[in-house]
Amino acid sequence: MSHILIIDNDRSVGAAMEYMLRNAGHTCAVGSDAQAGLEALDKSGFDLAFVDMVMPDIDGLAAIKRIHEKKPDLLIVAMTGYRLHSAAALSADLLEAAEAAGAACGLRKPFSQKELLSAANLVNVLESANQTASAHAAQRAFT
Amino acid sequence: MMLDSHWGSTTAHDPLQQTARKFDQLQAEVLGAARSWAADEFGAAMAHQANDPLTALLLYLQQMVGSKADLPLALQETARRALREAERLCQIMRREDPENAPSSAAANSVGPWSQRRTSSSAYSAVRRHTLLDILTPREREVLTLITRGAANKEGAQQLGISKRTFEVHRAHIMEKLKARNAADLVRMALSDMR
Repeated sequence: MSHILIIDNDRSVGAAMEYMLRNAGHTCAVGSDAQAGLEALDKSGFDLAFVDMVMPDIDGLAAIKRIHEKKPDLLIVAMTGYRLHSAAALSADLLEAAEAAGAACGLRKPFSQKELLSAANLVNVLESANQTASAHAAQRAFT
Repeated sequence: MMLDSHWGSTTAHDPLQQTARKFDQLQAEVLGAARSWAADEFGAAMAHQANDPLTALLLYLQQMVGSKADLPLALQETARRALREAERLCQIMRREDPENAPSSAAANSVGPWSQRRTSSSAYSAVRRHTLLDILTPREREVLTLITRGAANKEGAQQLGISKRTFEVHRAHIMEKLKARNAADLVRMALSDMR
């Protein structure tokens, strides 16, 4: 089970995610804006962070950069209900931009409980992928 | 309207009138574009605001339906019906976003989970030249580096991301392409290029 940070300025989303993740056995902290989230990073060692891409205080892409400046190895899951920064923007998809900025993956709102829990399981996915790679390497060494 | 006259100073072919008409036409077009832009901006803002409470609602209802053993029978049915309506609303929200149409490649390229995950049966039906299309642009960059023999640390440095994030992309690529190791990935990438 993972220690997870949720950064979302919509308190209802943060509360619902925290409730679901705690029910699934994870431990969580919620930051209601990017600044609170960045401060929480100093207080605890998280395995994973869910980060909203549109927040009033800091742009989500800048938030990813600031988080990785503090914790380079923290896995980040970007979240948004927006596709673009604004309807008139010609920029790339916001979640793709988040991925390019360093997020491991993205969730488009509204997302389901299953999608949320799959994303929260990212740390385990990574560990099992590494174990499989090691097992294949060991197998190759013997053959 | 009678404009053409031997004596009148304004005719249908009067350059001044033609310019004025063109100006009116342009003004109407600019106004229309501005209205359309404002409507798009308003729609995007509304969609974002609606998606937040909708996410919370969906999560709570799915939790209720999932833990039905704790609920009285009548409430179980009510929760199921409420969830059905919330899911219907989600479908409407996704349909309203033209980029999110089911056939859109972009819709499959965001979010690694159910929104873009290709099941093994669907995967086998994917034509060979679209093999790499199921990867996001970032995953394609990671794959390119892997096929060039870059180790996780080296690849991460080249893309300016953390080693762990690079490893996550690598794990997603291997899962999506059903590859067992880097050699499999190289084989798939090469066969896709041919």
